Amino acid sequence: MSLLELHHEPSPVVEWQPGYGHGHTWTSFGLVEADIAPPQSDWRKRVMRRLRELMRLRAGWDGYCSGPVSVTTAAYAVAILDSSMRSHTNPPAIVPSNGGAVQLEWHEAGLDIELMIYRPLDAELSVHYHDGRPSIEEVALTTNFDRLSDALQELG
Amino acid sequence: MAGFVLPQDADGEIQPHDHPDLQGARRMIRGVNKAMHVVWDANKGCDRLSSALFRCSPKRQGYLSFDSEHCLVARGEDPADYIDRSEWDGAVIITVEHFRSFDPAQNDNDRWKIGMVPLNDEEPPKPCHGAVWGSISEGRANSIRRAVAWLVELPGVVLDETTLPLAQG
Repeated sequence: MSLLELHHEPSPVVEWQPGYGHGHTWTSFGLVEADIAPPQSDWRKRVMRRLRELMRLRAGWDGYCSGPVSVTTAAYAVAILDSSMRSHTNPPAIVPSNGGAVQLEWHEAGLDIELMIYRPLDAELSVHYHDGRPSIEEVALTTNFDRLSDALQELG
Repeated sequence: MAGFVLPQDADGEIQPHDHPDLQGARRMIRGVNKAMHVVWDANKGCDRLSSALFRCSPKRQGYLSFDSEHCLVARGEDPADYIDRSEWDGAVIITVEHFRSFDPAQNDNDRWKIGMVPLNDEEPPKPCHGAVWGSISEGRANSIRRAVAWLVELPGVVLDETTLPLAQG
């Protein structure tokens, strides 16, 4: 499923609002905490808990100059997961990075999957296979997450 | 090194440079926050560091931060004590020469620049703060995190999981 499809199936947790006009488009993301429906899967609960934690990091949390994960980046991360995860997929490790970015990681089932999300519509996917298949290295993802979905399917 | 002037722009911002004190066997220290930088690797059945600790996209994130061991020692600091007193739970260390060996650049103009950016306005001040200017990809970041050594170890956290056999089950 792509983000464009997601727009027609709004998540109870994430609002994604595309805008159009004068020859260009824009997007806005927001976490809708007040209207959160009971999470339907374990991964979603854990992801939301972790992202809330990372959004509350103090400036300089890493001992250098990094700030918290931005709300819009967190919302984009949830939108990506909503479109790519199955209900029983294990939640990723979620690691903050500098500049408000966040990296999602799965290391299981003979795969190493790393998705760095710099900001909305700006993510990079890397997948390494322990069985010798060619790696996917830093493929740009914006609104289509099929390659991530394919990799996550292999996790079982 | 006495006499070296940090290059600055008109606003006083330090510009990318190679510092003469950060060469060869001199070592770079990167602080680690256990709750933020450690991930579970089910393939190898171990906790290990995330590549995010070393990734850098200059256009989006600026530079990669570290501390200079040489600078700390020159100021009378024991680097391990410095880490113990800091907000970090642990720290890894690598020589500049080894770090540079992961730079894919083929010519001097494109090479990572490794210099000093003292953060004297921070609380506490970080006069030994350094920076790597350059793109560090996922693949390079994973290679670097496997190559570092512990300065202050996080017990139970593996640096190079490739040395371990695949986990069973």
